[in-house]
Amino acid sequence: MSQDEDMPTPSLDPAFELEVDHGAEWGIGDLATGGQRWVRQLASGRLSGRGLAAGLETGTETWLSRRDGVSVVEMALVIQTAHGGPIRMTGTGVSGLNRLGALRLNVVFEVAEGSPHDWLATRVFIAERRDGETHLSIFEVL
Amino acid sequence: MKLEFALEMRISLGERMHIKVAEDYTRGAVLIRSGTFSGPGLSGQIVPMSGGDFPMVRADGGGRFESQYLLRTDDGAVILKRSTGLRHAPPDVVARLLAGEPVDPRSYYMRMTPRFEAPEGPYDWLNRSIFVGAGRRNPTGSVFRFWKVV
Repeated sequence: MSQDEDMPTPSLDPAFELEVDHGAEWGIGDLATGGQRWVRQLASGRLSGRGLAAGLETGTETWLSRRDGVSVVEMALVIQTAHGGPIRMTGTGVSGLNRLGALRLNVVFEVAEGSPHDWLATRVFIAERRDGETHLSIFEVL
Repeated sequence: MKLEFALEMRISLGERMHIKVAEDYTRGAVLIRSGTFSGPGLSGQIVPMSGGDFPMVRADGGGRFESQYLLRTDDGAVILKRSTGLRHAPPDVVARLLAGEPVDPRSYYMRMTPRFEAPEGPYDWLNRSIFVGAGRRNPTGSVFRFWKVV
């Protein structure tokens, strides 16, 4: 199969940094459907960049750590902007670590229509947290 | 982070349906009739009618994709592919896309983030990475190209 030459090629553009203070952590245990479940509270934090500064209101980071060494990670949080209302961010991705470390996520934002930030809901983002760091670097997929 | 080309996929689509769940909430549905995929180290076919895309339709005619279907590699491995993504475009471009007209893929934003569940073995690298993709909608199907985030 030949590659389609008439296709846009995506690139990554740095968009936001999300600094997070982690809170309580819970180990749910081994699941009958496979894997070991961990949940960690996102207690406080701040998202900044691209004309947006917002405080973290609430959130959780959930890991399903499998025996193949891969963890499937889900993150869901709400940030509060100064003038654009609350924004929900969700991420789904993977980590090569057993639990609660470096990760990469696919990220989607939910924003009220008419908000100055509603463009966020029309774009795809990815994010990375390096091992030992507490902040998430978020990139727009151009 | 950098992007490394992983695979290209060409699919033919069945009938497009809409479920008007509520006045402000419509779910689309389109099944994948058939398709092929190819990239460095893997190639094969979409398992016919193994799933499709079930997008949430935006008020401006755009969509938030939620797709799920199966791939079968030429050497017999079955891989679950799930994907979320977005299509966003000016209203006139949306109208032409919905009318099934050919449209320049650079005139709209169609990006997605596929996830894979592959069996242990030569394709389990798909389980360990995230991916981004770009799409092109044709009158009877779609072309997707996916890149691994490295």
